[in-house]
Amino acid sequence: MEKKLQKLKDPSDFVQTNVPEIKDLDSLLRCHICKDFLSIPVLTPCSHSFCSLCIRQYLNVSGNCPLCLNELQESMLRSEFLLGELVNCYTKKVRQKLLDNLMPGNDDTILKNNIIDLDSQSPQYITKKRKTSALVNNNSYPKNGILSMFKTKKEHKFLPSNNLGDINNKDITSGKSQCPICSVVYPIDYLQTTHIDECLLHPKMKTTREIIEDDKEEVKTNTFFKDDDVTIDKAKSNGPTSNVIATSQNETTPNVETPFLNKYLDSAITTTCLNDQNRKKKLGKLDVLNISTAALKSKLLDLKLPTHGSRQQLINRYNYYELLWNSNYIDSLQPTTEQDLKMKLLNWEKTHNLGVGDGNNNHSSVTMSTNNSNNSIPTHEHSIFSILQNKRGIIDIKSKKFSRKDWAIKNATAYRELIKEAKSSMLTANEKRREAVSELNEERSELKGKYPNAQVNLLCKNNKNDTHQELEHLLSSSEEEE
Amino acid sequence: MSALPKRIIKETERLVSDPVPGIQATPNEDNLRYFQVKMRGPIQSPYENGIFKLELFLPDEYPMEPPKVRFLTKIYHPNIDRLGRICLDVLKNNWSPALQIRTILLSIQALLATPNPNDPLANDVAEEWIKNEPQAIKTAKEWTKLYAMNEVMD
Repeated sequence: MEKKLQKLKDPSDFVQTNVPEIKDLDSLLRCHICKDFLSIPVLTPCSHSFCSLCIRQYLNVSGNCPLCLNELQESMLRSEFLLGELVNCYTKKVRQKLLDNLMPGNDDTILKNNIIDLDSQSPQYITKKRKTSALVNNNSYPKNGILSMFKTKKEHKFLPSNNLGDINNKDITSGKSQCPICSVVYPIDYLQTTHIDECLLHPKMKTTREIIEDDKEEVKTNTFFKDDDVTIDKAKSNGPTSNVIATSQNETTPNVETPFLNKYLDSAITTTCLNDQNRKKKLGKLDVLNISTAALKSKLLDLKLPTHGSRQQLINRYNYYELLWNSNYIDSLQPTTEQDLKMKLLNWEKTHNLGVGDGNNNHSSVTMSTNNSNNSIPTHEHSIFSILQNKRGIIDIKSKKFSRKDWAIKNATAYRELIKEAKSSMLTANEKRREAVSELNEERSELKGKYPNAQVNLLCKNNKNDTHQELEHLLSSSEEEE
Repeated sequence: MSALPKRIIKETERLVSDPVPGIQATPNEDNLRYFQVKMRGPIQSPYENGIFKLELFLPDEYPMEPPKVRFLTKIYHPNIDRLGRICLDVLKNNWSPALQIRTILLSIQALLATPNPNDPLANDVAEEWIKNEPQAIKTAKEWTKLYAMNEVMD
C-alpha cells in the first residue's frame, strides 16, 4: 500500500517546492472522474473537460454532466486536441523536471545561503550554515569554491530552459540547430532560409534532405522568409519556451524536441488524409433488450473479439470495447492500434468481467494476445483467429456455410490424437485397477494367515469394510469390461 | 473483487494525510473499499458533541456509481431511518463521479445540521419534526446522549 502510494503523482507533490502554486496547475490538468491526468480529453457543451473514456463510461449509466448536472449525451462530446497536447507536454516532459528543479535546496535557497557565505568568507561558517538549515542539500555543493558555484547558479537562473534542451546544446554551439517541424539538425543558415519552408510544404520530404547536413553545400539564397518570420515560426512550435527564443535571436536558440507538438500542428493535414482511408467508423451502441445472442456474437466476431462467456459478459465486452474504440478512433489525435485496444480490453476483463465460476479466462488471454490484429494483413490475421476458434470449438456450427466434411478433414489429426489419448488413458486406468485388485487379494490372504482368530478377523473386516467393497466392485466391473 | 483503481488509492491517501475536520475515515485492512467512518455531530445542532459511526463501501462501479453509506449509530433524524440508511440526493440521483468520499461525508455532516422533514425517510420522525419541532429536537439530543457519546475520535 505504501509503495503504491509513493508511485502516484499527486498535485500535492508541489506543496513542498518553491512554487507551490503549480499545485493548482497540476490539478487543473486532471480529469474530475479518474483524478488522473486527462487522457484524450473531450469537451462537453457545458464547457467541462474529461477523459474520453471516463465520460463515455459514465454516460453509459447516466445522462448528465458530472460537474454541472446538465443534460449530456455522448454525441455532444467534442475532442479537445490542444488540452490533450498540453497535458502530454506537461506530464511527459515538464512535470518531473519542474519537481526536480524547484525542490528547495536545489537552487534558490542555496543561492541565498551562498550570498551570506560570500560575505562572511569563512569556510567554518559555511559548515555551520549547512547544519543549521535543514533545507540545504549538502550534495549539491560543488567542491571548487564558492564563487564558481555562485556563477553556475546564476546561469541556471537566466536560462531556465537549458535543462530542457540538453540534447541540442552541442549542436547549437557549432552553428547548427534543430528544425522545429521535422526535428532534424541542420546548419542554422540553411535551416532559416531554405529548409523550414520546404519542411512546411512537404513534411514527408525531410529524409531526402538529411544529406545536406554537411556544411559544404552552401545555402541557396531564398529571401522568401525573412529572419523575423522564421523566429515567429519557431516560437509557435516551441510554445512553452517561446519567451526564451525571443530573447536569444539566432545561434543560441535552444530548441526543444517536441515531436508530439508537431503532430498537433500538423493535425489539419493528417486528419484530412486519414478521413478517406484509415479513419475508423464510430461503433454503434448495443440495443441490449432486442439483440439476440447470436447477433451479438456475430458483432463480436466482426470486431475479432472472443465470443465465449455468458450473455451478460458478451454485452459487457462489447460495451467496453465500444468505449475503447470510440475514445480511441473518434477522439484521439494519435489513435493506437486495434491490438492495443484488445490488450486494454483483456486487462479490463481480468478484473471487471468475470462470470460466476468462469474458468475460461486463461483461454481468452491466449486468443486475444495471439490474435495479432494488424490491419495491414487482414487475411492472415483472420486465419489465425479462425483456427484458434476451431480449437476451442466456438465456430458457428449452425450456419449454412458450415461443412461437416471440411471440418472432419481439417481436424483429422486432432481427432486422431484425441482418440489415441483416450485409448492410452483407458489402458492405464485398467492396469491400475488390476494392480489394486491383486493388492486386495494379497491383503486378504495375509490377513487370513496372520489372524486365524475369527474375532480379530471380524474387527479387521469392520475397519476395511468400505475399501473392500469398493475394490470388489472395481474388480467385478473390470472383469465385465474384459 | 476487481483491482483497486488509482482513484481510490488517491482518495484514501488524501483522507488519511489530510483529513476533513470532524470526520475520520479509515479503510479496512482486508478490504480497501470498505471504510469505517466516525463523524462529529455539527456544532449547534441536536447532534452536537455526539460521535456517530458510519460504514462506507465503494462498489466495483465506483466512481460511476455512488458509494454506499449507512449510519451504524442510532440517530433520531427525519432523513435517516432505523437501519441507518440515509436519504440524500447526492447518494442517489444526483451522484456524480466528480464527487468523492470526502464531499459525500461532508454533505452527510451538513444533512445532520439541516434536517429536511419535507423529504422524509423515517416517517414517524418527520411527522414529529413537523408537528412539534422543539420536542423532536429534544428527542434527538436525548438519543445523541444515549447512543453517540460512547465513541472517541482517535
